[in-house]
Amino acid sequence: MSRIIKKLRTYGLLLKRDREGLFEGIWDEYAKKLLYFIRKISGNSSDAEDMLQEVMLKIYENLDRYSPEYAISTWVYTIARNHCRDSYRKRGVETVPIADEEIFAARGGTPESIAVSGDLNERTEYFISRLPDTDREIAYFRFYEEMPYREISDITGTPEGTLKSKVHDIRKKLTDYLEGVK
Amino acid sequence: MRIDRRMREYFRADINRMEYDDAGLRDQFERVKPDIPNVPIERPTYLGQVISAAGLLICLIYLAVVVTGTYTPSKLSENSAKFFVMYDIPGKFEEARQFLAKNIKL
Repeated sequence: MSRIIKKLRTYGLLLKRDREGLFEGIWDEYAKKLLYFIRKISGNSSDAEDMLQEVMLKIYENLDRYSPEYAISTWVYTIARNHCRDSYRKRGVETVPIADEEIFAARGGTPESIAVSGDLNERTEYFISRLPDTDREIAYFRFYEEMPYREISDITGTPEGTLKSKVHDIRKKLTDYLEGVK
Repeated sequence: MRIDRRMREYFRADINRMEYDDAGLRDQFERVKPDIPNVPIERPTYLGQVISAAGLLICLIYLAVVVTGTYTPSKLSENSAKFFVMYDIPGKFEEARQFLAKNIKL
């Protein structure tokens, strides 16, 4: 579904004041992505499913505060990101890079051996796992969600200029990395 | 860009690979979901909407006036229209000047 059609559908549901319908759409579109975001992007895999429930509750409860001025993705990811950060802060959890040694061990190798001999996906994973949390978020929003810089800036609070330079940097580093380990 | 596609494919594949029980999670959510009534969702009134509505209203009033025949163009607008039809042609300067002098008093 294109962005415009999605937006029109959201407007329709808002006009109908249909909380359940709107939430249904958000769940179908974002539940899996949010779980991935919590688990892999913001770097917490231990209680990601509980966090997803909490985020979904916040979304459900605050639907009447959603303003169509913002893209629904921006709103949803902002809630998820803020919730994760607050929760880590409260519990004093330190986020760890996503790809710890266990992931690579499960695939039958060390990060270093995969970096040298792994396939393209494994090498990309290794590269992304080494990115700082904020850069990983930016990469996810920009490359996977294909969000405009303005939306990413709304979510992360990073100025657009900085985002552009970070994205350029990530592209260049990944290109160099993939070419360098051939 | 190739590298953008590479990243996108990686994320897509990683999400598809991820263990995910949609029905189970949804069930769990339905159990804890609060019972909130369908309260009106507040939407801000945008300046653009107000301006568009005002513009539309003016157009409707104009159309209503024209259709009911209560609109009578002023002498000035009648003459202006005539002037543009008859004299907006190169080489008709003198005729245009005379027409203006005769019909439009400034």
